[in-house]
Amino acid sequence: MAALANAQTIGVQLEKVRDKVPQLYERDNVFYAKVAKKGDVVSSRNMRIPLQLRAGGRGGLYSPDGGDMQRGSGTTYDVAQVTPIHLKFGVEITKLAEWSTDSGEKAVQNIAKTEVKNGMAQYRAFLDKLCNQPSTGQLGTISSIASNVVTLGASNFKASQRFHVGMGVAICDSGFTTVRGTQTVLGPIDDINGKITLDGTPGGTISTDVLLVEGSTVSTGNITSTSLFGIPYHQNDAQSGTWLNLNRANYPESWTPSVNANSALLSTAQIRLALNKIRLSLGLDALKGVTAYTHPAQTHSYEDLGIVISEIVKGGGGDSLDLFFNGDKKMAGTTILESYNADPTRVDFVCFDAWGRAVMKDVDMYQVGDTTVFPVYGASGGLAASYIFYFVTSFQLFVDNPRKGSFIKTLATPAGY
Amino acid sequence: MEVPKELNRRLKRIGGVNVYGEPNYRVVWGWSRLAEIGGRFEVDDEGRKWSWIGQKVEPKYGAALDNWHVEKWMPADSFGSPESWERNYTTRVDGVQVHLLGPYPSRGDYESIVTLPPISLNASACDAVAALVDRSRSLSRADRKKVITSKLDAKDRDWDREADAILDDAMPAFYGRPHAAGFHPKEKQ
Repeated sequence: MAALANAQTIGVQLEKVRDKVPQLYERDNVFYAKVAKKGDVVSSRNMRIPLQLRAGGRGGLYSPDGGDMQRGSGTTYDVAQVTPIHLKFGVEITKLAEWSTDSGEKAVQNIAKTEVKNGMAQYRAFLDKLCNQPSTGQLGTISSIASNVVTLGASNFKASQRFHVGMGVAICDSGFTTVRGTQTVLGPIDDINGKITLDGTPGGTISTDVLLVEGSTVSTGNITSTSLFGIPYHQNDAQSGTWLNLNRANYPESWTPSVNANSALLSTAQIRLALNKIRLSLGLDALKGVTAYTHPAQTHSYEDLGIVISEIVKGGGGDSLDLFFNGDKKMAGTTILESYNADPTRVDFVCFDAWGRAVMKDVDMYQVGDTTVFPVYGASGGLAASYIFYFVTSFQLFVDNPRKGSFIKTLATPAGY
Repeated sequence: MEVPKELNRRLKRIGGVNVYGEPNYRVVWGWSRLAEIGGRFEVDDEGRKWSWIGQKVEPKYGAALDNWHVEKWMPADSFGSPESWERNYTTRVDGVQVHLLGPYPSRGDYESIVTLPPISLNASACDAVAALVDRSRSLSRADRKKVITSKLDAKDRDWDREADAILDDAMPAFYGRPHAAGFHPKEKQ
């Protein structure tokens, strides 16, 4: 008789499952976390932000001997306005998924609990991505599409900075006249080739079509819905268009100072100039509280200049370095705040004291009475063996002085990014 | 605030000198480190606003005035050529030519490599600064990238731990299932 082989013992062998499930995708929410701490409570009506924009009064010489003293003038005030937008994030779980993981004997993770945590984190990451994208809600363009695989048009942002698996996108024509349909992003998100996969293709979809945040609306050549007023909206050097209902052309005070790097790598001179432009407008004190918000690619570019000490090791060697450092690196004295969702071709010097949120509803679960978890119904009208819950929030971001910040744009990124 | 002479001497020993015989590393006080800037300066004089165009000398590290700065000397060519400096950092404002960052640094210039809090630079503080500069000189590009990404990953882990703690508090014991506890009395001798 042959020796006992391993194949004959499979039935009694334990199947080892690692008890740690690594997160294989990023869920950064750095910028949103900074502004999330603030909030002015508002209704559905516009929030009005009075601004003292220009000096008034007329000074000059005059003759007290009956001379004409000329007329006078006063300070110019105007009002910026902001309205909350409404954002949601749905999480759906089948009963089988719940039952299969509701004890330590069955699974290494309780999925119901984990999905509440994952949903919250992913929702904050979704909001953070929107803070770094245009306020129109435009996420990208279709360069080509085949078998539901979209090759994205050229952008400063990688695919994973704008999309995540499971999110909905609206597809509209490049003339913004009609939304062709809404689809769901499936995996994988291919950063290397700039591709995403959808669960379908609405009729009439062509290359040059535009991908918008789900729920966006268009009409007669315009995107009529609004997304979050994030970095690209408030830190903007455009001299035309509107900013919080004010005409930019009439108010240079709404133009954020900028430095054009013209596709060069980051340099100390650009950083100094960007910070100096704030000082020219608002004085030396204006730089207090300014933070350098940027993508790790630009932090690395800064380190490649060879002028920053990268290794700040807390507790290493037991020396008194611990007394000095909290791990924050500085760029010309400004604390660096890095985010994977930031534009890799920009460094934004942001004064977070000037930022605020008009909040109608802070992040919470959607609730009807005491109910936060809702059943899903099948095609027959009967219950489907699933349930769904939503995170919702209604708010908008504003800045009370766009010139309290500045930015360096069109930077080259170092090799490897 | 005055920098202890011994500290700058130690940094000179560690970091050496440049082609001009000046130390490659030094410590300066934020308010004392001045640099030229040019442009249109807008002034708000108790509500009266006016502006003027020209050059002036101001503290270089405006975002960290009340701090010590460890600076490293950078050679002139790290700032580009004189022609590119002129092209990028000279402009005309209302017909007046201004040098936005002052003249081209033909002898190189010092840049802040780390910002220290406004502590007293006693002997142990000086030891720490000198050690920091010494350690930083041998880091590779890969090491520096690792520091950047590990900080971001640590933030994510912190959030995960906090969320787990909150949800564990909210989750009933034994996943909400009925259970009973009992004990076995010691056997009688």
